Amino acid sequence: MERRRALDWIIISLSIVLTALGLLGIGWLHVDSSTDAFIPTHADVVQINDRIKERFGSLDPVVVSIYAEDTILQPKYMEILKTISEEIEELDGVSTANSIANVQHLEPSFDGVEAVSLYDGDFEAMKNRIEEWPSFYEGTFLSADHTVASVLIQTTLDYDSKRLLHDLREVVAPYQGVVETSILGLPAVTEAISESLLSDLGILVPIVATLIILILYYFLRSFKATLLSLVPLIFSSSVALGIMAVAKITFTMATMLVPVLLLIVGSAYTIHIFSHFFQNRDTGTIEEVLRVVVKRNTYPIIAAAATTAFGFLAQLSSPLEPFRIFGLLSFIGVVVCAFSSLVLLPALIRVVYKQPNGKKQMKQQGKDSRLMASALNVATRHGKALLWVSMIILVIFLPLSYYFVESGTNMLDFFRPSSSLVKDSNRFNERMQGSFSMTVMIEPGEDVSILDPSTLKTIEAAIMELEAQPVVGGVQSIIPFVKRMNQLLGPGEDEIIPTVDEEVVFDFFAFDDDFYLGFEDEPAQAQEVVASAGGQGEYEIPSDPARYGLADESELANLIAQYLLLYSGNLDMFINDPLEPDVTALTLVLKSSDTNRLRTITTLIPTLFPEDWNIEVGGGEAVALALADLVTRSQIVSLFSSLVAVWFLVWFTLKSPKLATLALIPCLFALLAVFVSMHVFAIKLDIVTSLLAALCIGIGVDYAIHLLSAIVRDDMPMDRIMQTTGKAILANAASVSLGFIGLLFSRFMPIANLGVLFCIAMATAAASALLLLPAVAVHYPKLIFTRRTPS
Amino acid sequence: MKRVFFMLLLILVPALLIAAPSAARIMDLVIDTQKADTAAMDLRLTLIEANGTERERRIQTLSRTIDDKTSIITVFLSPESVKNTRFLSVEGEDATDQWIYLPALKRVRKISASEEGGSFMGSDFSYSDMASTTYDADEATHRLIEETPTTYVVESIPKTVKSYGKNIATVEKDTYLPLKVEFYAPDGTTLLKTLTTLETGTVGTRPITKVVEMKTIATGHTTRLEMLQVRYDVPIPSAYFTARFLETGRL
Repeated sequence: MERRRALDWIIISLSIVLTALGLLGIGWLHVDSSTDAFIPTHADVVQINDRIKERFGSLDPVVVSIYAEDTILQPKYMEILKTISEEIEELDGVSTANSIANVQHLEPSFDGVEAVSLYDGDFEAMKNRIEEWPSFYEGTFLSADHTVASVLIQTTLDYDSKRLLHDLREVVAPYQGVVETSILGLPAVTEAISESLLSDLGILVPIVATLIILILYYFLRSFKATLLSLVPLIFSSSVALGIMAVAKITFTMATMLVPVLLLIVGSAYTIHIFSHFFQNRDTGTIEEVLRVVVKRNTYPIIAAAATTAFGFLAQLSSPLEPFRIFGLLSFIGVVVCAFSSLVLLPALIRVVYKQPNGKKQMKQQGKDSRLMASALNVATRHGKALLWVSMIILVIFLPLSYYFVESGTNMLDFFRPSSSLVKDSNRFNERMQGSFSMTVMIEPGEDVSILDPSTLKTIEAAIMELEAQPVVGGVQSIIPFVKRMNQLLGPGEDEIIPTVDEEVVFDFFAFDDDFYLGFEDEPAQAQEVVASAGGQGEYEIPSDPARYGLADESELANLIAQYLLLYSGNLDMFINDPLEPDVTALTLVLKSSDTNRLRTITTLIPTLFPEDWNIEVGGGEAVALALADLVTRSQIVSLFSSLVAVWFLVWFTLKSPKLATLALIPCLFALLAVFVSMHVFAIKLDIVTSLLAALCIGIGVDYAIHLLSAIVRDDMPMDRIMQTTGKAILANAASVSLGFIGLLFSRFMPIANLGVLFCIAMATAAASALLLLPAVAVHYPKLIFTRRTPS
Repeated sequence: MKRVFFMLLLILVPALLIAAPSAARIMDLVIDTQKADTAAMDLRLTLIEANGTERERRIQTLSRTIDDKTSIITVFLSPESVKNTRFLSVEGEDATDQWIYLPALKRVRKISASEEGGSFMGSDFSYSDMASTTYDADEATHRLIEETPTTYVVESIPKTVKSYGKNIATVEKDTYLPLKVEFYAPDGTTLLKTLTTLETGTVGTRPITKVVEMKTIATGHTTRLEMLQVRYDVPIPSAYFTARFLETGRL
């Protein structure tokens, strides 16, 4: 006895220490909320993004905007914009920060071209300058109605996004109340998720824990028992968090679910132990009762835990690392939870309960009894029809419903429509080109020059096609700069190109004579400047050699290179070299990041260019799109993996492949319900909801196992089975669903959606198990009973 | 353009010098000894991508300085697309006038623009950045932070911060050539670029840096600048630095 008690205290102490260490580990968790955390480093889009970054710099533009009720083009707003732009430019991690307050404007002068500040205090002049080149300024720097102005920030490659966003908020803070401001762009969204991830866990755990307490109390009718039942759940959740901290596992939106899931899933095990403990309380001493209870429940709990754990473990087949980690952690967590329910909980009961004085628990539920009787009635009277109709529905609608499920992994969609981030983005997207972006890198090949007019014309035609798409707010490229330089420096409509018989080639080292430096004539007096007025050219890509007095396209390409020489390194986000570029980049500014629309765009892009050109699509939205594809693939792979894993496990448990197949039927109905609900409620398959399939199978199959085990035992009539096992299944489905309802309080839409969908899945799994499996037993007993007919 | 030339002078032109202990004095001597009334240079810039890809540029410059006002003609020899494109920059009392000759159009346009912050021909060299390499005593606060038997290491913090917040120059004692210059961001701690002298030589009695390399830390992009030919103090008449001469090559 004393030895037993000492062992109990050792178990309890060890658990307390491990729990404390696990909870302390929260401080060391590495949080990464970006979709980048999900994408494998060898994925094509990651490689493409690396190549784009190497040539064109950072792909994460950040936009700071100010909003006015009337025009921004007035002193009070322009001074704010100027100050903000200047301060942002000084921040660490900022490569450039451009706005209408600091950008240089090129305009014609009587003898050439003049670069002036777009904003120099003269608002009339400023308006005229904007009207000279509206396609460049409007939509990017300034809204068409002039009520929104933006500072476009190009970050350095190695910037610290958290620090930069903090600094940006400090920069705009003094102007709150004077103007409305917003900070948008992928880094802002990523940071908002990061900041909310741990705090969301801080909200969800207490809510789910409260719901679990209510459920436990409902079944156990004892505060003491309820609190003790929570201990194994808290212990296993803490162990999972501790493992994450020690193993330096990144805390993503998928892994954050593990502690919450363990609270919900594990409650079934502790309920089993306590309910049996109370049922047998009068049969002996505490030690004797517990010995019997543990012995009787070891196999059912291990069997249930095994199917759930292997359902989670099927995530190891996912191509996404966070999902694999989620699967492994959940597997470990479920095993720890089941183990602690069988070891820690009895130890606690022995220490806390001096004598078996538990109250009567398990309230009789009249409604449940009637429900079970009705279910059996339906299964008996209409079983055949029910089975055939169900099978037909399953065969037709399961693949069909899955086909219609849309995937979407845009991070902004993670937030509720009422969040300030979504509101700011919508407001910005309505008036400006957009807050989402994609980059297209174009390599025409060795024999084709980017600056050839025909190449530029092909790119221009592609841009026009892309801009015709509703989702594309605008396309930024080298083209407007070429056109503008041609307009400023090119020849006028009627201007005759002066011809020079022989081009003088300057070479200051051609001769030894120091004085003349290779020129034959004796220097004479300086003569008048012969520069001619700028701004006489057309706003076009020079494409007609004759019009420019040139022989062919290659000379036109040289002319364009000479134009761009003036821009020096200022075009390095569009071309990889100002003089002889062989790669160019287009930035697609998008109003929406809807996966289907993005897919339309990415499918269209390669068709707009010659087949032998190398076209690569990158940028943040391309990552989201690639992730959507991976999530779909992951869903399919993990779905089949978990089906196979669970099938084998059930075969092993029930020792019959036919029963294993039957056991999957409720799971398949749960999946059907999930897919139909996703379609009906427009819920997308994302990095969280794609975990559902494996969860449904892992947890849902338990109902079938319990029911089939009871039927196969053949030691009681079907109505009695329904009143005992059937009711237990209903209770478990209700409790698990109630636990998952707690996820509705998450500030992240995918997690809230997961909660709703899981409730629907569990209700469907329970209902189909309680209706269809008895129907099979009644009408097709050979499928269940192999050696003899049922009594 | 003026700044390009100034930069080139700063890096490539020699310094003869006698030892001078104070940091400000060292930097003054670096500047003083690089002065030349006129110079002609033939330069090759090799732009080296982080992945090792190289691109070559070739330019020649002709310059003259009178009363601290510099006029420069820059001619592009390669790549082929910009061959014979010419720039003229004439520093005046209040502003610098600039002209460009576009060989494809065979005409000259005047340009009023400041390219101080821009990259020179897509290289890692920029006008203002390079100009701030060696401030004189009035422009920056200089501090001798290290002295070895062969070099001085001088930290210069500009009084007016533009592109850089701090430069650290390693100056050779014998020649007053800058052997290495580190360029820091306005925060004074983030290293942005490093300029390293790879090869030195002499023109007559004048020591020069023949090959230097500028590396941008964030991108790993490097530009190697080689002085292929150079002549100092050749007599060049004013008429060379006119738009007419720029366009026609005739005076």
